[in-house]
Amino acid sequence: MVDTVQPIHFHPKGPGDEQPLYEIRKKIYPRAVSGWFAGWRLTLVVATQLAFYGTAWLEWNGRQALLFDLVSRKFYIFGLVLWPQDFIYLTALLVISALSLFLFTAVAGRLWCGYACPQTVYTEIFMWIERVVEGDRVRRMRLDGELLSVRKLGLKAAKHGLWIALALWTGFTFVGYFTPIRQLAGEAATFSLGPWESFWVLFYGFATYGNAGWMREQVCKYMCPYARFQSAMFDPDTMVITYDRQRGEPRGGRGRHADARALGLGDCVDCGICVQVCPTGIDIRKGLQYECIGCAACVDGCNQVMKKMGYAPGLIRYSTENAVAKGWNFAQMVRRMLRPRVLIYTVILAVVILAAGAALLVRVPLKVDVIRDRASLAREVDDGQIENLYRLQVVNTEEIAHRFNISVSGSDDLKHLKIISESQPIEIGPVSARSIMVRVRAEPEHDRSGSERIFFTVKAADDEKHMLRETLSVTEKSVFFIPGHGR
Amino acid sequence: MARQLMWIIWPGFFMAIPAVGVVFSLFDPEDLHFFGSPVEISHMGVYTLGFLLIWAFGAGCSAMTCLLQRTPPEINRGIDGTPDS
Repeated sequence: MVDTVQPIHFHPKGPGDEQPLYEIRKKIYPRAVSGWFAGWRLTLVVATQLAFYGTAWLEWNGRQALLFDLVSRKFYIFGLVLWPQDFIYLTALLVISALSLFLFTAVAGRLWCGYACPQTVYTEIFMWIERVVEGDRVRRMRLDGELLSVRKLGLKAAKHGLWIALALWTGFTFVGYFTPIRQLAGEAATFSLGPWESFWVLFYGFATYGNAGWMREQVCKYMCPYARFQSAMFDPDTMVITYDRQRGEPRGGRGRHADARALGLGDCVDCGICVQVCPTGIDIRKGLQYECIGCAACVDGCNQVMKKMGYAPGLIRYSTENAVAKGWNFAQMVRRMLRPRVLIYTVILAVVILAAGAALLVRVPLKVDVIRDRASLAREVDDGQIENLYRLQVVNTEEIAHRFNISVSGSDDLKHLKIISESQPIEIGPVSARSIMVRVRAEPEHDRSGSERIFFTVKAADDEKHMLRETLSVTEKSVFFIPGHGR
Repeated sequence: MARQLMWIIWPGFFMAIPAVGVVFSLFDPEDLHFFGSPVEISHMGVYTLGFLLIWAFGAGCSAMTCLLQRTPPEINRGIDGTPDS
Protein backbone atom coordinates (compact mmCIF):
# COMPACT_ATOMS: atom_id res chain seq x y z
CA MET A 1 0.00 0.00 0.00
CA VAL A 2 1.32 3.41 -0.91
CA ASP A 3 0.98 5.96 1.82
CA THR A 4 2.34 9.03 0.10
CA VAL A 5 0.19 10.85 -2.38
CA GLN A 6 1.66 11.02 -5.83
CA PRO A 7 0.49 12.77 -8.94
CA ILE A 8 -0.69 10.79 -11.93
CA HIS A 9 -1.66 11.80 -15.42
CA PHE A 10 -5.27 11.52 -16.52
CA HIS A 11 -4.58 12.59 -20.07
CA PRO A 12 -1.09 11.49 -20.85
CA LYS A 13 -0.69 13.87 -23.79
CA GLY A 14 2.84 14.97 -23.17
CA PRO A 15 5.41 15.68 -20.52
CA GLY A 16 4.25 19.30 -20.11
CA ASP A 17 0.74 18.28 -19.15
CA GLU A 18 1.58 17.05 -15.69
CA GLN A 19 -0.82 17.98 -12.99
CA PRO A 20 1.15 19.41 -10.11
CA LEU A 21 0.35 18.17 -6.68
CA TYR A 22 1.33 20.07 -3.62
CA GLU A 23 2.08 18.63 -0.29
CA ILE A 24 -0.28 19.63 2.45
CA ARG A 25 1.35 22.50 4.22
CA LYS A 26 0.33 24.18 7.40
CA LYS A 27 -1.98 26.49 5.51
CA ILE A 28 -4.66 24.59 3.68
CA TYR A 29 -5.69 25.68 0.21
CA PRO A 30 -8.83 23.70 -0.47
CA ARG A 31 -9.52 23.17 -4.13
CA ALA A 32 -13.02 24.12 -5.26
CA VAL A 33 -15.20 21.20 -6.19
CA SER A 34 -18.55 20.81 -7.90
CA GLY A 35 -21.00 17.96 -7.69
CA TRP A 36 -24.13 16.74 -5.99
CA PHE A 37 -22.98 17.36 -2.43
CA ALA A 38 -21.35 20.68 -3.33
CA GLY A 39 -24.74 21.72 -4.72
CA TRP A 40 -26.40 20.84 -1.44
CA ARG A 41 -23.75 22.67 0.51
CA LEU A 42 -24.27 25.77 -1.58
CA THR A 43 -28.05 25.48 -1.18
CA LEU A 44 -27.69 25.34 2.59
CA VAL A 45 -25.25 28.21 2.70
CA VAL A 46 -27.71 30.36 0.75
CA ALA A 47 -30.74 29.18 2.75
CA THR A 48 -29.21 29.65 6.20
CA GLN A 49 -27.78 33.05 5.34
CA LEU A 50 -30.97 34.30 3.70
CA ALA A 51 -32.70 33.28 6.90
CA PHE A 52 -30.07 34.91 9.11
CA TYR A 53 -29.64 38.20 7.22
CA GLY A 54 -33.28 38.41 6.14
CA THR A 55 -35.39 37.39 9.15
CA ALA A 56 -34.20 40.37 11.19
CA TRP A 57 -35.96 42.66 8.72
CA LEU A 58 -39.34 40.88 8.75
CA GLU A 59 -42.27 42.63 10.39
CA TRP A 60 -45.16 41.15 12.34
CA ASN A 61 -48.03 43.07 13.95
CA GLY A 62 -46.16 46.30 13.26
CA ARG A 63 -43.04 45.20 15.12
CA GLN A 64 -39.96 43.15 14.31
CA ALA A 65 -41.03 39.53 13.77
CA LEU A 66 -38.08 37.96 15.56
CA LEU A 67 -36.67 40.10 18.33
CA PHE A 68 -35.03 39.10 21.57
CA ASP A 69 -35.68 42.37 23.31
CA LEU A 70 -33.19 42.25 26.13
CA VAL A 71 -33.96 45.72 27.42
CA SER A 72 -37.64 45.06 28.12
CA ARG A 73 -36.93 41.34 28.71
CA LYS A 74 -39.40 40.01 26.16
CA PHE A 75 -38.77 37.62 23.30
CA TYR A 76 -40.93 38.23 20.24
CA ILE A 77 -41.09 35.15 18.04
CA PHE A 78 -43.59 35.93 15.29
CA GLY A 79 -47.03 35.61 16.94
CA LEU A 80 -45.57 34.57 20.24
CA VAL A 81 -44.29 36.74 23.07
CA LEU A 82 -42.15 35.02 25.69
CA TRP A 83 -41.45 36.51 29.10
CA PRO A 84 -38.71 35.50 31.52
CA GLN A 85 -41.32 33.27 33.19
CA ASP A 86 -41.45 31.24 29.96
CA PHE A 87 -37.84 30.18 30.41
CA ILE A 88 -38.96 26.55 30.27
CA TYR A 89 -39.63 26.82 26.53
CA LEU A 90 -36.08 27.95 25.91
CA THR A 91 -34.88 24.96 27.89
CA ALA A 92 -37.14 22.72 25.81
CA LEU A 93 -35.66 24.23 22.65
CA LEU A 94 -32.15 23.44 23.87
CA VAL A 95 -33.14 19.87 24.72
CA ILE A 96 -34.75 19.47 21.28
CA SER A 97 -31.63 20.82 19.56
CA ALA A 98 -29.33 18.50 21.48
CA LEU A 99 -31.51 15.43 20.84
CA SER A 100 -31.81 16.28 17.13
CA LEU A 101 -28.04 16.50 16.97
CA PHE A 102 -27.71 13.05 18.59
CA LEU A 103 -30.34 11.63 16.25
CA PHE A 104 -28.93 12.70 12.95
CA THR A 105 -25.37 12.13 14.06
CA ALA A 106 -26.30 8.52 14.79
CA VAL A 107 -27.98 8.22 11.38
CA ALA A 108 -25.65 10.09 9.07
CA GLY A 109 -22.67 11.46 10.95
CA ARG A 110 -21.66 15.08 11.07
CA LEU A 111 -24.29 16.52 8.77
CA TRP A 112 -24.44 19.58 11.00
CA CYS A 113 -20.71 20.28 10.53
CA GLY A 114 -20.71 19.77 6.80
CA TYR A 115 -23.77 21.77 5.93
CA ALA A 116 -25.23 23.97 8.64
CA CYS A 117 -22.61 24.93 11.21
CA PRO A 118 -21.93 28.69 11.04
CA GLN A 119 -18.21 27.90 11.05
CA THR A 120 -18.59 25.88 7.83
CA VAL A 121 -21.07 28.27 6.27
CA TYR A 122 -19.01 31.41 6.86
CA THR A 123 -15.82 29.64 5.85
CA GLU A 124 -17.54 28.70 2.56
CA ILE A 125 -18.60 32.28 1.96
CA PHE A 126 -15.18 33.68 2.87
CA MET A 127 -13.47 31.11 0.64
CA TRP A 128 -15.80 32.04 -2.19
CA ILE A 129 -14.77 35.70 -1.81
CA GLU A 130 -11.14 34.59 -1.71
CA ARG A 131 -11.61 32.55 -4.91
CA VAL A 132 -13.28 35.46 -6.70
CA VAL A 133 -10.53 37.92 -5.71
CA GLU A 134 -7.39 35.79 -5.75
CA GLY A 135 -8.29 33.01 -8.15
CA ASP A 136 -8.27 29.23 -7.87
CA ARG A 137 -6.15 27.06 -5.62
CA VAL A 138 -3.00 27.12 -7.75
CA ARG A 139 -3.16 30.91 -8.24
CA ARG A 140 -3.68 31.45 -4.52
CA MET A 141 -0.68 29.33 -3.64
CA ARG A 142 1.43 31.12 -6.23
CA LEU A 143 0.27 34.52 -4.94
CA ASP A 144 1.18 33.64 -1.37
CA GLY A 145 4.62 32.56 -2.54
CA GLU A 146 5.24 35.82 -4.39
CA LEU A 147 7.14 38.74 -2.98
CA LEU A 148 5.06 41.71 -1.97
CA SER A 149 4.06 43.72 -5.01
CA VAL A 150 1.46 46.36 -5.79
CA ARG A 151 -0.71 43.69 -7.41
CA LYS A 152 -0.43 41.38 -4.41
CA LEU A 153 -1.12 44.20 -2.00
CA GLY A 154 -4.17 45.24 -4.03
CA LEU A 155 -5.58 41.72 -4.13
CA LYS A 156 -5.01 41.16 -0.43
CA ALA A 157 -6.53 44.54 0.45
CA ALA A 158 -9.57 43.81 -1.72
CA LYS A 159 -10.04 40.39 -0.12
CA HIS A 160 -9.72 41.62 3.43
CA GLY A 161 -11.87 44.65 2.68
CA LEU A 162 -14.68 42.43 1.42
CA TRP A 163 -14.23 40.06 4.34
CA ILE A 164 -14.40 42.89 6.87
CA ALA A 165 -17.45 44.42 5.18
CA LEU A 166 -19.28 41.08 5.30
CA ALA A 167 -18.14 40.49 8.88
CA LEU A 168 -19.44 43.89 9.98
CA TRP A 169 -22.76 43.28 8.27
CA THR A 170 -22.95 39.93 10.04
CA GLY A 171 -22.22 41.60 13.38
CA PHE A 172 -24.80 44.27 12.67
CA THR A 173 -27.44 41.65 11.82
CA PHE A 174 -26.60 39.72 14.97
CA VAL A 175 -27.13 42.78 17.15
CA GLY A 176 -30.30 43.47 15.13
CA TYR A 177 -31.90 40.44 16.79
CA PHE A 178 -31.49 42.05 20.21
CA THR A 179 -32.07 45.71 19.42
CA PRO A 180 -34.73 46.58 16.80
CA ILE A 181 -32.77 46.43 13.55
CA ARG A 182 -34.46 49.39 11.84
CA GLN A 183 -33.65 51.62 14.77
CA LEU A 184 -30.13 50.20 14.75
CA ALA A 185 -29.78 50.90 11.02
CA GLY A 186 -30.83 54.51 11.59
CA GLU A 187 -28.25 54.88 14.36
CA ALA A 188 -25.55 53.20 12.29
CA ALA A 189 -26.29 55.49 9.34
CA THR A 190 -25.71 58.57 11.50
CA PHE A 191 -22.79 57.00 13.40
CA SER A 192 -24.71 57.28 16.67
CA LEU A 193 -24.74 53.64 17.76
CA GLY A 194 -24.73 53.14 21.50
CA PRO A 195 -21.46 51.98 23.06
CA TRP A 196 -22.71 48.48 23.87
CA GLU A 197 -24.27 47.96 20.47
CA SER A 198 -21.03 49.14 18.84
CA PHE A 199 -19.08 46.74 21.01
CA TRP A 200 -21.21 43.76 19.95
CA VAL A 201 -21.22 44.66 16.26
CA LEU A 202 -17.42 44.87 16.31
CA PHE A 203 -17.01 41.84 18.55
CA TYR A 204 -19.25 39.57 16.49
CA GLY A 205 -17.82 40.98 13.28
CA PHE A 206 -14.28 40.37 14.47
CA ALA A 207 -15.16 36.83 15.54
CA THR A 208 -16.66 36.14 12.10
CA TYR A 209 -13.63 37.59 10.30
CA GLY A 210 -11.18 35.69 12.48
CA ASN A 211 -12.99 32.38 12.49
CA ALA A 212 -13.99 32.25 8.82
CA GLY A 213 -11.05 34.11 7.34
CA TRP A 214 -8.11 32.95 9.41
CA MET A 215 -8.84 30.06 11.73
CA ARG A 216 -11.17 28.01 9.54
CA GLU A 217 -10.59 24.26 9.98
CA GLN A 218 -8.58 24.89 13.15
CA VAL A 219 -11.82 25.81 14.91
CA CYS A 220 -13.18 22.35 14.03
CA LYS A 221 -9.95 20.57 14.85
CA TYR A 222 -8.92 22.23 18.09
CA MET A 223 -11.89 24.16 19.45
CA CYS A 224 -15.05 22.22 18.70
CA PRO A 225 -16.23 19.88 21.45
CA TYR A 226 -18.68 18.14 19.11
CA ALA A 227 -15.83 16.71 17.02
CA ARG A 228 -14.37 15.18 20.14
CA PHE A 229 -17.36 13.21 21.28
CA GLN A 230 -18.61 12.15 17.87
CA SER A 231 -17.31 8.63 18.50
CA ALA A 232 -19.82 8.31 21.33
CA MET A 233 -22.64 8.85 18.85
CA PHE A 234 -21.29 6.75 15.99
CA ASP A 235 -21.77 3.03 15.63
CA PRO A 236 -21.03 0.58 12.78
CA ASP A 237 -24.36 1.48 11.15
CA THR A 238 -23.78 5.22 11.07
CA MET A 239 -23.45 6.63 7.59
CA VAL A 240 -20.14 8.42 7.24
CA ILE A 241 -17.83 9.42 4.42
CA THR A 242 -16.08 6.17 3.63
CA TYR A 243 -13.34 5.15 1.26
CA ASP A 244 -14.04 1.70 -0.16
CA ARG A 245 -10.65 0.20 0.52
CA GLN A 246 -11.49 -3.19 -0.98
CA ARG A 247 -12.40 -1.60 -4.26
CA GLY A 248 -9.71 1.05 -4.31
CA GLU A 249 -6.59 -0.83 -3.25
CA PRO A 250 -3.94 -1.30 -4.34
CA ARG A 251 -4.02 2.28 -5.53
CA GLY A 252 -1.82 3.57 -8.28
CA GLY A 253 -1.56 5.61 -11.46
CA ARG A 254 -2.49 4.13 -14.78
CA GLY A 255 -3.35 5.21 -18.29
CA ARG A 256 -6.91 6.09 -19.04
CA HIS A 257 -7.59 2.97 -21.08
CA ALA A 258 -5.33 0.64 -19.18
CA ASP A 259 -6.77 -2.54 -17.74
CA ALA A 260 -6.40 -1.94 -14.02
CA ARG A 261 -6.97 -5.56 -13.09
CA ALA A 262 -4.26 -6.70 -15.46
CA LEU A 263 -1.92 -4.21 -13.79
CA GLY A 264 -2.95 -5.58 -10.42
CA LEU A 265 -4.51 -2.26 -9.37
CA GLY A 266 -7.71 -1.29 -7.60
CA ASP A 267 -9.95 1.60 -8.68
CA CYS A 268 -8.09 4.35 -6.80
CA VAL A 269 -5.97 6.21 -9.35
CA ASP A 270 -4.15 7.96 -6.50
CA CYS A 271 -4.73 11.40 -7.99
CA GLY A 272 -4.94 13.04 -4.59
CA ILE A 273 -8.03 15.07 -5.49
CA CYS A 274 -9.76 13.88 -2.33
CA VAL A 275 -6.94 15.37 -0.28
CA GLN A 276 -6.79 18.62 -2.27
CA VAL A 277 -10.47 19.40 -1.84
CA CYS A 278 -10.56 18.58 1.86
CA PRO A 279 -11.13 21.72 3.94
CA THR A 280 -9.46 20.12 6.95
CA GLY A 281 -6.59 18.69 4.92
CA ILE A 282 -6.98 15.00 5.76
CA ASP A 283 -6.68 11.90 3.58
CA ILE A 284 -10.00 10.11 3.88
CA ARG A 285 -8.38 6.97 2.49
CA LYS A 286 -6.73 6.43 5.85
CA GLY A 287 -10.18 5.85 7.32
CA LEU A 288 -12.55 7.96 9.37
CA GLN A 289 -10.74 10.64 11.34
CA TYR A 290 -12.06 13.07 13.90
CA GLU A 291 -11.05 15.98 11.65
CA CYS A 292 -13.58 14.91 9.00
CA ILE A 293 -16.46 17.36 9.07
CA GLY A 294 -18.55 15.23 6.70
CA CYS A 295 -18.72 17.86 3.97
CA ALA A 296 -18.46 15.22 1.21
CA ALA A 297 -16.19 17.41 -0.93
CA CYS A 298 -13.97 14.35 -1.44
CA VAL A 299 -17.00 12.34 -2.60
CA ASP A 300 -17.74 14.91 -5.31
CA GLY A 301 -14.07 15.18 -6.25
CA CYS A 302 -13.55 11.43 -6.50
CA ASN A 303 -16.77 10.88 -8.45
CA GLN A 304 -15.58 13.35 -11.08
CA VAL A 305 -12.35 11.42 -11.47
CA MET A 306 -14.17 8.09 -11.59
CA LYS A 307 -16.36 9.46 -14.35
CA LYS A 308 -13.34 10.63 -16.35
CA MET A 309 -11.79 7.21 -15.95
CA GLY A 310 -15.00 5.49 -16.95
CA TYR A 311 -15.35 3.79 -13.55
CA ALA A 312 -18.46 3.55 -11.44
CA PRO A 313 -18.87 6.39 -8.93
CA GLY A 314 -18.82 5.85 -5.18
CA LEU A 315 -15.23 4.82 -4.47
CA ILE A 316 -15.60 7.40 -1.71
CA ARG A 317 -19.23 7.61 -0.60
CA TYR A 318 -21.64 7.92 2.27
CA SER A 319 -21.72 4.45 3.71
CA THR A 320 -21.56 2.55 6.97
CA GLU A 321 -18.82 0.41 8.39
CA ASN A 322 -21.08 -2.64 8.21
CA ALA A 323 -22.23 -1.91 4.66
CA VAL A 324 -18.68 -1.64 3.35
CA ALA A 325 -17.48 -4.70 5.24
CA LYS A 326 -20.41 -6.87 4.24
CA GLY A 327 -20.92 -5.49 0.75
CA TRP A 328 -24.49 -4.32 1.36
CA ASN A 329 -26.36 -2.31 -1.23
CA PHE A 330 -27.99 1.00 -0.42
CA ALA A 331 -31.38 -0.48 0.50
CA GLN A 332 -29.82 -2.99 2.89
CA MET A 333 -27.83 -0.25 4.50
CA VAL A 334 -30.80 2.08 4.92
CA ARG A 335 -32.80 -0.72 6.52
CA ARG A 336 -30.31 -0.73 9.40
CA MET A 337 -31.20 2.87 10.05
CA LEU A 338 -34.13 1.67 12.15
CA ARG A 339 -32.04 0.30 14.97
CA PRO A 340 -32.79 0.65 18.70
CA ARG A 341 -30.48 3.61 19.22
CA VAL A 342 -32.12 5.61 16.46
CA LEU A 343 -35.62 4.59 17.51
CA ILE A 344 -35.00 5.58 21.13
CA TYR A 345 -33.64 8.99 20.10
CA THR A 346 -36.63 9.48 17.80
CA VAL A 347 -39.18 8.56 20.47
CA ILE A 348 -37.64 10.83 23.12
CA LEU A 349 -37.35 13.66 20.62
CA ALA A 350 -40.97 13.23 19.52
CA VAL A 351 -42.17 13.22 23.14
CA VAL A 352 -40.27 16.41 23.98
CA ILE A 353 -41.47 18.18 20.82
CA LEU A 354 -45.09 17.14 21.42
CA ALA A 355 -44.98 18.12 25.09
CA ALA A 356 -43.43 21.51 24.38
CA GLY A 357 -45.81 22.12 21.47
CA ALA A 358 -48.85 21.16 23.53
CA ALA A 359 -47.73 23.33 26.44
CA LEU A 360 -47.26 26.23 24.07
CA LEU A 361 -50.67 25.65 22.53
CA VAL A 362 -52.65 25.58 25.78
CA ARG A 363 -50.55 28.32 27.34
CA VAL A 364 -52.78 30.99 28.87
CA PRO A 365 -51.53 34.44 27.86
CA LEU A 366 -52.14 35.75 31.34
CA LYS A 367 -49.91 35.43 34.38
CA VAL A 368 -50.78 36.26 37.96
CA ASP A 369 -48.48 36.48 40.95
CA VAL A 370 -49.93 37.04 44.39
CA ILE A 371 -47.65 38.65 46.93
CA ARG A 372 -48.82 39.16 50.51
CA ASP A 373 -48.12 42.57 51.87
CA ARG A 374 -45.22 42.08 54.22
CA ALA A 375 -45.65 45.25 56.27
CA SER A 376 -49.04 44.41 57.77
CA LEU A 377 -50.01 40.82 58.43
CA ALA A 378 -53.66 41.37 59.16
CA ARG A 379 -55.85 43.89 60.91
CA GLU A 380 -59.30 44.03 62.36
CA VAL A 381 -61.67 46.50 60.80
CA ASP A 382 -64.85 48.11 62.15
CA ASP A 383 -67.39 45.33 62.22
CA GLY A 384 -65.19 42.52 63.56
CA GLN A 385 -63.98 41.61 60.12
CA ILE A 386 -60.36 40.78 59.37
CA GLU A 387 -58.57 42.47 56.51
CA ASN A 388 -55.44 41.23 54.65
CA LEU A 389 -53.48 43.12 52.05
CA TYR A 390 -52.15 41.67 48.81
CA ARG A 391 -50.34 42.84 45.75
CA LEU A 392 -51.35 41.13 42.50
CA GLN A 393 -48.89 41.24 39.65
CA VAL A 394 -51.04 40.72 36.55
CA VAL A 395 -49.23 40.18 33.24
CA ASN A 396 -51.10 40.32 29.95
CA THR A 397 -48.75 38.58 27.54
CA GLU A 398 -50.98 39.05 24.49
CA GLU A 399 -50.50 41.82 22.00
CA ILE A 400 -54.02 43.17 22.58
CA ALA A 401 -55.40 44.98 25.59
CA HIS A 402 -57.69 43.11 27.99
CA ARG A 403 -59.96 44.03 30.88
CA PHE A 404 -59.93 41.81 33.92
CA ASN A 405 -62.13 41.12 36.94
CA ILE A 406 -60.52 39.91 40.14
CA SER A 407 -62.51 37.74 42.48
CA VAL A 408 -61.66 35.82 45.64
CA SER A 409 -62.86 32.53 47.07
CA GLY A 410 -61.91 30.42 50.07
CA SER A 411 -62.96 27.77 52.53
CA ASP A 412 -66.34 27.82 54.26
CA ASP A 413 -64.63 28.92 57.47
CA LEU A 414 -64.32 32.39 56.02
CA LYS A 415 -67.69 34.11 55.85
CA HIS A 416 -68.52 37.21 53.86
CA LEU A 417 -65.30 36.91 51.90
CA LYS A 418 -65.01 39.97 49.71
CA ILE A 419 -62.43 41.92 47.78
CA ILE A 420 -61.85 45.65 47.83
CA SER A 421 -59.79 47.14 45.04
CA GLU A 422 -59.77 49.90 42.49
CA SER A 423 -62.82 49.89 40.26
CA GLN A 424 -63.14 46.74 38.22
CA PRO A 425 -62.72 45.64 35.47
CA ILE A 426 -59.09 46.65 35.33
CA GLU A 427 -57.63 47.34 31.92
CA ILE A 428 -54.14 46.09 31.10
CA GLY A 429 -52.52 47.13 27.85
CA PRO A 430 -50.98 44.81 25.27
CA VAL A 431 -47.87 42.95 26.43
CA SER A 432 -47.71 44.73 29.73
CA ALA A 433 -47.94 44.12 33.42
CA ARG A 434 -49.62 45.90 36.29
CA SER A 435 -49.30 45.67 39.99
CA ILE A 436 -52.69 45.93 41.73
CA MET A 437 -53.19 46.40 45.48
CA VAL A 438 -56.23 44.56 46.82
CA ARG A 439 -57.71 44.24 50.27
CA VAL A 440 -59.55 41.09 51.24
CA ARG A 441 -62.04 41.10 54.10
CA ALA A 442 -63.67 38.14 55.83
CA GLU A 443 -65.38 37.17 59.02
CA PRO A 444 -63.77 34.07 60.52
CA GLU A 445 -66.07 31.25 61.67
CA HIS A 446 -65.90 30.08 65.34
CA ASP A 447 -63.54 32.89 66.22
CA ARG A 448 -60.61 30.78 65.06
CA SER A 449 -57.13 32.01 64.33
CA GLY A 450 -54.32 30.90 61.96
CA SER A 451 -54.04 30.69 58.21
CA GLU A 452 -56.77 29.92 55.72
CA ARG A 453 -56.23 29.14 52.10
CA ILE A 454 -57.84 31.55 49.64
CA PHE A 455 -57.89 31.76 45.87
CA PHE A 456 -57.70 34.75 43.57
CA THR A 457 -59.23 34.42 40.14
CA VAL A 458 -58.32 36.91 37.45
CA LYS A 459 -60.72 36.59 34.53
CA ALA A 460 -61.02 38.53 31.32
CA ALA A 461 -64.19 40.63 31.30
CA ASP A 462 -63.86 41.80 27.77
CA ASP A 463 -66.64 43.24 25.74
CA GLU A 464 -66.70 42.75 22.00
CA LYS A 465 -64.35 45.61 21.50
CA HIS A 466 -61.79 43.83 23.63
CA MET A 467 -62.27 40.45 22.02
CA LEU A 468 -63.83 38.24 24.66
CA ARG A 469 -61.88 35.15 25.50
CA GLU A 470 -63.71 32.69 27.73
CA THR A 471 -60.55 30.80 28.50
CA LEU A 472 -58.57 33.79 29.65
CA SER A 473 -58.68 33.09 33.35
CA VAL A 474 -56.05 32.27 35.95
CA THR A 475 -56.51 31.19 39.54
CA GLU A 476 -53.71 31.61 42.06
CA LYS A 477 -53.71 30.52 45.66
CA SER A 478 -52.63 32.51 48.68
CA VAL A 479 -53.10 32.59 52.41
CA PHE A 480 -55.53 34.63 54.52
CA PHE A 481 -54.16 35.24 57.97
CA ILE A 482 -56.42 35.52 61.00
CA PRO A 483 -54.68 36.91 64.07
CA GLY A 484 -55.15 35.17 67.44
CA HIS A 485 -56.99 36.56 70.48
CA GLY A 486 -53.92 38.14 71.91
CA ARG A 487 -54.15 40.88 69.30
CA MET B 1 1.07 28.46 22.91
CA ALA B 2 -1.58 29.74 20.51
CA ARG B 3 -3.37 26.45 20.88
CA GLN B 4 -3.31 26.71 24.66
CA LEU B 5 -4.76 30.17 24.38
CA MET B 6 -7.60 28.67 22.32
CA TRP B 7 -8.21 26.07 25.02
CA ILE B 8 -8.36 28.78 27.64
CA ILE B 9 -10.45 31.40 25.86
CA TRP B 10 -12.85 29.24 23.90
CA PRO B 11 -14.49 26.99 26.56
CA GLY B 12 -15.14 30.04 28.72
CA PHE B 13 -16.80 31.81 25.81
CA PHE B 14 -18.85 28.73 24.96
CA MET B 15 -20.14 28.31 28.51
CA ALA B 16 -20.68 32.05 29.03
CA ILE B 17 -23.45 32.00 26.40
CA PRO B 18 -25.82 29.64 28.28
CA ALA B 19 -24.66 31.01 31.64
CA VAL B 20 -25.56 34.59 30.79
CA GLY B 21 -28.86 33.33 29.36
CA VAL B 22 -29.76 31.53 32.58
CA VAL B 23 -28.57 34.26 34.93
CA PHE B 24 -30.46 37.06 33.22
CA SER B 25 -33.59 34.99 32.72
CA LEU B 26 -33.75 34.66 36.46
CA PHE B 27 -32.52 38.10 37.46
CA ASP B 28 -33.68 41.40 36.08
CA PRO B 29 -30.80 43.89 35.69
CA GLU B 30 -33.28 46.39 37.12
CA ASP B 31 -33.03 44.66 40.49
CA LEU B 32 -29.25 44.59 40.62
CA HIS B 33 -27.36 46.53 43.24
CA PHE B 34 -23.67 47.34 43.20
CA PHE B 35 -22.28 47.85 46.69
CA GLY B 36 -25.71 48.84 47.88
CA SER B 37 -26.60 51.35 45.19
CA PRO B 38 -28.59 50.60 42.05
CA VAL B 39 -26.57 49.91 38.90
CA GLU B 40 -26.66 52.93 36.64
CA ILE B 41 -25.74 51.32 33.32
CA SER B 42 -28.20 50.40 30.58
CA HIS B 43 -29.56 46.84 30.42
CA MET B 44 -27.46 46.17 27.35
CA GLY B 45 -24.42 47.25 29.35
CA VAL B 46 -25.28 44.97 32.26
CA TYR B 47 -25.73 42.02 29.91
CA THR B 48 -22.46 42.79 28.16
CA LEU B 49 -20.46 43.22 31.35
CA GLY B 50 -22.13 40.13 32.82
CA PHE B 51 -21.15 38.15 29.75
CA LEU B 52 -17.56 39.35 29.84
CA LEU B 53 -17.30 38.68 33.57
CA ILE B 54 -18.63 35.13 33.25
CA TRP B 55 -16.34 34.59 30.27
CA ALA B 56 -13.35 35.80 32.28
CA PHE B 57 -14.16 33.40 35.11
CA GLY B 58 -14.63 30.56 32.62
CA ALA B 59 -11.29 31.35 31.01
CA GLY B 60 -9.70 31.44 34.45
CA CYS B 61 -11.11 27.99 35.12
CA SER B 62 -9.72 26.67 31.82
CA ALA B 63 -6.33 28.26 32.51
CA MET B 64 -6.18 26.48 35.82
CA THR B 65 -7.01 23.16 34.13
CA CYS B 66 -4.22 23.77 31.62
CA LEU B 67 -1.84 24.46 34.44
CA LEU B 68 -2.81 21.42 36.48
CA GLN B 69 -2.86 18.89 33.69
CA ARG B 70 0.86 19.23 33.04
CA THR B 71 2.68 16.08 34.10
CA PRO B 72 5.44 16.16 36.74
CA PRO B 73 8.22 15.65 34.15
CA GLU B 74 6.87 18.57 32.15
CA ILE B 75 7.00 20.81 35.20
CA ASN B 76 10.35 19.57 36.46
CA ARG B 77 12.05 19.72 33.10
CA GLY B 78 15.34 21.52 33.30
CA ILE B 79 15.06 22.19 37.01
CA ASP B 80 16.42 19.07 38.67
CA GLY B 81 18.61 17.94 35.88
CA THR B 82 16.11 15.51 34.36
CA PRO B 83 16.67 15.31 30.65
CA ASP B 84 14.14 16.98 28.36
CA SER B 85 11.64 14.47 27.12
